Amino acid sequence: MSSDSSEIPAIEFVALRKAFGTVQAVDGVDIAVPAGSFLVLLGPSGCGKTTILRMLAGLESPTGGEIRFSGGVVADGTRGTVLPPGRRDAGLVFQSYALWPHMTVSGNVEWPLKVARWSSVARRQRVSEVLDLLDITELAGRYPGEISGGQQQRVAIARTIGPRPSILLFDEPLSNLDAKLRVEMRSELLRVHRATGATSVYVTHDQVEAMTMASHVAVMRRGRVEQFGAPRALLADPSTPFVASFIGTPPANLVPAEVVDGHFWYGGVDLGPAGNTAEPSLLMYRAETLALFAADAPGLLRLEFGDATPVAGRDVVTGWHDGRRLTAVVEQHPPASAGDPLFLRFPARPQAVFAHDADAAAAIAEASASGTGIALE
Amino acid sequence: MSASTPAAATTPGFLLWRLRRALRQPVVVIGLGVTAVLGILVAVPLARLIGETITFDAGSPWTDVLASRLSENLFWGPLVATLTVGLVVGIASVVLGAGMAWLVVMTDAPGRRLIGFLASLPFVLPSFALALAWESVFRNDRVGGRVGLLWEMGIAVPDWLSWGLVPVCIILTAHYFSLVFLLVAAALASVNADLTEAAEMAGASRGRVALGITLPVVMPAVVAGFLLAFAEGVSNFAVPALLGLPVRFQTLSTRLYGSISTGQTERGFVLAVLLIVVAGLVLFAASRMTGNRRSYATITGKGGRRRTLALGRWRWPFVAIAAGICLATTVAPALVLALSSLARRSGQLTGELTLHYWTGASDPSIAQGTEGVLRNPQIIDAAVTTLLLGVSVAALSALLALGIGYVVVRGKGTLLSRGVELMSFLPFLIPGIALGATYIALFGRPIGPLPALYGTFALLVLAGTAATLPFAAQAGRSTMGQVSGDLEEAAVVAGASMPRRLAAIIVPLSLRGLLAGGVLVFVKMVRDLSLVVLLVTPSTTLLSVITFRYASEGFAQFANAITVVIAAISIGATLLARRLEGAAQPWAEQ
Repeated sequence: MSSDSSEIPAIEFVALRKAFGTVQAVDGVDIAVPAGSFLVLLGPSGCGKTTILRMLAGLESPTGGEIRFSGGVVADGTRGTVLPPGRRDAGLVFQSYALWPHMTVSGNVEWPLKVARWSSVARRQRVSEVLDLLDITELAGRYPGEISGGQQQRVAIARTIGPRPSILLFDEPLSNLDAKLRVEMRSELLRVHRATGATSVYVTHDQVEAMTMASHVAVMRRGRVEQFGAPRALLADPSTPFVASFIGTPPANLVPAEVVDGHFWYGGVDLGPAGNTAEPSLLMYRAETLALFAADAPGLLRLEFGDATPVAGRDVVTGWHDGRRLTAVVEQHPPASAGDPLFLRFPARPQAVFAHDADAAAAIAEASASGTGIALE
Repeated sequence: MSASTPAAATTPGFLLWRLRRALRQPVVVIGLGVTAVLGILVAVPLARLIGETITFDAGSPWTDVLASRLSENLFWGPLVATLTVGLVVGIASVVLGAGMAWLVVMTDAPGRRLIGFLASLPFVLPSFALALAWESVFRNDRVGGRVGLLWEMGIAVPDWLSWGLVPVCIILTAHYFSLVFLLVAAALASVNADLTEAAEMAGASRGRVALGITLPVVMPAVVAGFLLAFAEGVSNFAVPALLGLPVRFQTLSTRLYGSISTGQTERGFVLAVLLIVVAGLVLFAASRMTGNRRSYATITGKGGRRRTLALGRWRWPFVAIAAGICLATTVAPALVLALSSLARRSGQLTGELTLHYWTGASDPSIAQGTEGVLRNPQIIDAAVTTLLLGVSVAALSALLALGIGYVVVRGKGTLLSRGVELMSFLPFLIPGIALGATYIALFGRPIGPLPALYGTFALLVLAGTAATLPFAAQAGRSTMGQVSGDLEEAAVVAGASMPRRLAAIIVPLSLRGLLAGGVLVFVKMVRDLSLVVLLVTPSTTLLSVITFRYASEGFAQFANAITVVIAAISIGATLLARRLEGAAQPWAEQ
């Protein structure tokens, strides 16, 4: 499983499991990342990603498998060796920030250092250092209730990196911020990640965050890792229909095709040779590989125009065929208003082919229910 | 895949490991500690009480009470009286409390804020204060001794107005209607304009809206208020003792007091069990009604927009009635008490006034030479003991509140959490006087190496802590509920140990709620009579008990003066608590 056998991974899960009663929240996860990586656990709510993060922090114990930090076991579901949270050299940024409301900003940052028995001189110096790093020096004497959400977020990060943990954990840290702040904090977080050199694990359901920040992404579904790899690898080569329909802005189209005479067919359009597949399949087409025309011609699929959103000088156009939504990214879309016919041309080959079974259908429904859509923050 | 095989889960080693790991969780550790304390405070005394009633060999006290020549007098008569009092108090409280809630929340009556404030006040005065004030005005010459204001003025007050069922019901209603008021007003406030306007948009008439929307939302609060007032009426001791006992009007609580104070302890214990069963059944029903499912009605305090009903020309009559009731239940009795403590002769409020009963030296011609309350060493002793008791019980309760709140909130859903919650609310089902009897049953005799605690201050503290447990639990639960688990986990991740987290995070954040809960407990203890009346001895006298004795012996002015002192302490403590709350959390000031 290890991606690099010459080096001991900074974080490694081996057959990690967590059951709450009869519910398997985490159902056998194997991942390893080298030191300094930025691992994003990505998935819809309830996929087990936060449970993994809490097990990393030591706030939950696994019911099976192991977690290793730099080769040393910190949590073990079978023998029960669990290193307590404070001794794991890890810091956690909570979704709610969890700032202690009765301590000032500098009090919040300083307290974990006190617990770690830093000298008062070292504490004072470190506090001003991290406040400076996060550009919140002037808030030092304020209480959490007196500062804005974005500032609270910075304080939470400052508090977490204060004791110089070698592992940074983030639990959907940007979900409480407005769209503009979120973009700003994304680059801020990357800056902090680089400045500390820590290995980061970041939990989110927002694939845009994953794509922009991660060095490694684990796409999760129902307690398992659906696919693990670099963001571009996931985008280029999704291994399951779930990943294909969860990742990308906009996410890829999945077209259900029948196989007739060795060719894929959808909506009366020939989508090319099926190779040795004879079963119904899902064909993946990235939005930017589709072309749109105002007039019909042979080999085009007739759509009803839905809407168009201009993005970065291009148009993201959605249209409907037979109750199915298809998305294309084009230089300029033909003039049309809702309900008008448009004509879609598929490329010669799909970018990926998946078996079209019941599980695939459920996966697509889950992925689109989590509202991936076009995230344009 | 081999991670947690079923075989591993059943080996003794695995179970031991699970146990060891559980014992390292703060919720489990604190939970077990709290369970042990609650067991000693509640479960053990209750078990002992029941045990005492069945272990006597010669002639079961149960037969005496339930099926003998005496039982008509001992149980069935008082039972009927008790249930009558409960029923009347319940109904009257609902009429007054719900009516006033409607007036304050739903109409445009002028001065409804003031009325709302006054209607929540009657709790400031202890229930025996109202009874004493009643006596000062309505007492006739039936049992001899002093008479009230009206009799002095030459008005022949009939027996039924001076003594027994009628005044008991009136006074208990005056004391408990604000319970119903608070519950129903909160429920009414949750019916905001959106709800009723949605119904009106659907074409419903005004009456239909009231019956179909407003009433169902408020109904659980009304029913719960009725049951609470009913149960309080059933278990109250001071009022029937002062206004019923002299004319042999007996309820279960006065019967219980009579039995134990005349040495028929085992009969008293049986009566205690029966009283617990009666009050417990009613309150159990009440807590089910106010329980989780219906909490939307009471929790949504802020209801947003409300449309008020224009009363038109009825507004002043309604306001006059409401204001009259409020004044008659709060200001008037307080005035009567204060004034009558200054009257040379009881009943002559308009006659010569004197400070003798407050500061006078012993004078053989007045009240058998009893000194004024402010220079009577016995009373000053009692005042000190009372304050000490209040502070001790409040401190213990705050500590328990912290533990109970922590276990119930953090361990939510576990068996431990539910067990602790259930046990801490159990004393709510036990009338004070029955709880007192319970503590006599347990601590009246030595237990193993422990000496008998009867007559000691420690026993009062233990019993007081047990009696106020439900309030401590409520305070702890709501306080800890506001301290997000994330805040503690952030400290866990920082490596802070349990004691350190308690000291630096949990205690400072819950201090405000714990203080408020502590003061509530303090006020309850300072005013309490029914719990302590069986437990005090001459060496550990309390203010409320002295008041009760003076009142029974006919020294009305002394009783009234001490009652004024008790009320002043209660009000002072409440005001102090508000200031403390402000000072305790500088970060909350915005």
